[in-house]
Amino acid sequence: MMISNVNQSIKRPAPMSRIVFTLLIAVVLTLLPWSGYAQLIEPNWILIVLLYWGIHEPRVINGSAFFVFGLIADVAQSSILGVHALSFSVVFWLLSIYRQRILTFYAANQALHLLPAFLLNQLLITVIVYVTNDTTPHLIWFSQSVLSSICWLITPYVVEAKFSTKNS
Amino acid sequence: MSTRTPQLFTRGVSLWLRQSLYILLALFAIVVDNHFHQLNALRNIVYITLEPLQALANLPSHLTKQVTNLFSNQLALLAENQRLKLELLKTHVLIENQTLLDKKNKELEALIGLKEHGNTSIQLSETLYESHNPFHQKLMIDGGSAQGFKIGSPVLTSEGLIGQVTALFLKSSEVTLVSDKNLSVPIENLRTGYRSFTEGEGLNDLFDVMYVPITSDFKVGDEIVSSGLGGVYPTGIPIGQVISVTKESNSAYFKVRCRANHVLRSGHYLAVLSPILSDELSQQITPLASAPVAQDKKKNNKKKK
Repeated sequence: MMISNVNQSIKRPAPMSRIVFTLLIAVVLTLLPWSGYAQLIEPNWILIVLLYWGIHEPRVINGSAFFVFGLIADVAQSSILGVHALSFSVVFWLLSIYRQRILTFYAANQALHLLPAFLLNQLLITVIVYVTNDTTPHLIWFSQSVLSSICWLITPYVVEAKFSTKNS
Repeated sequence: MSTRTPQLFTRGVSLWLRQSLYILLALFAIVVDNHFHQLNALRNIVYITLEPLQALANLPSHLTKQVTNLFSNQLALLAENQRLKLELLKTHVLIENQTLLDKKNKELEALIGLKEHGNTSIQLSETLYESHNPFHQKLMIDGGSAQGFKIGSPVLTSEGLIGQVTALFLKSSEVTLVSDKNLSVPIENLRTGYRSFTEGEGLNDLFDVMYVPITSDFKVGDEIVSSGLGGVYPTGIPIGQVISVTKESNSAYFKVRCRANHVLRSGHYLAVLSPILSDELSQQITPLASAPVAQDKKKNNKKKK
């Protein structure tokens, strides 16, 4: 715990309840009955929150959590089991290599660096679905990544919102 | 900072192994689920844990529906009631006509020795939500294995066939729509009687009629109904209308695009028919399969003689 205090002197380790709660909210947002174009460009809520905790609390949200939430995303989107689990695992792999670098950036910079991660996630899903089902998505679907990284800018404020009020 | 490096190093070694194991596991799951469809138990377990969250996510739309129901105009309700009564009368007349036809048909079929079609039971259901997947055209509906739904059940609305039940959960089931790329329905052109089958376009409410030779008669506006071949879908259920017939260069077939009759919105009532059981189907098929063999034997015997 001393290690994280070097970088962020104010932040304390997030309580487990908050991590679970925010992840559940992300799942509920994914399960909302979106339709039409809204469904196509809906940000990848689960991946955003997973990445946030994967960067800030790597001991809690590790590779296993990414895998399990990948499976949950698969069931939530009723796609073939393992598609999101695979893409999330690859994203986590990259994340754990670049985590230290990303931690030093400001939110806007982080968003720019995470855009390739979101795109890679979509690209992997597209390839797997194309190979297994011979279907390609609407081109607009790829704007999901851009929206996801825009959402990243406000994620810290949303995810840590109650944090400050509780402690102050 | 100095304490960070060794920790990173020790984690780095296991990271490769662990992540490649997870990726392999995911690949394994993809192959097993896609080719062998053996992971339904796991899917069910995850789905049961997701169900309360799904209920929570559906709450806003449910509430708005309830509120609009509460404040709906009495006059509008009266008008709708009147219209429904008239429609009921109309369908009653039609049904009476149909029962007579059915009876005649059965007698004729018995006369020429055709097999009786399996009785189909109808169960009513309601759409819950569109599935959250940009690659597939799927719908979640109310009622699942607890209500006796089965995989393969055709699903209809008042406008016609919309698809087939492809995944079963305890209290909900997943319907793959006609416009999904993976669903094909044997169809018939109502005007000409030409038989073929469909393939979904994967886009909103559109599907193609496959392998229509350029010499055949297909026009924009033709009604497409299910042909009943293959035994899964009942005969003569409307599916859609032809919206364009184009000839692609160096192809012997027309590209026939159709729009499905149904409009996808939540809150529609659906009818789920019971599918024809596989043993029933096999019973119908076995006499056909054995007949040619018997003929061959006779031919062989003749040759030997």
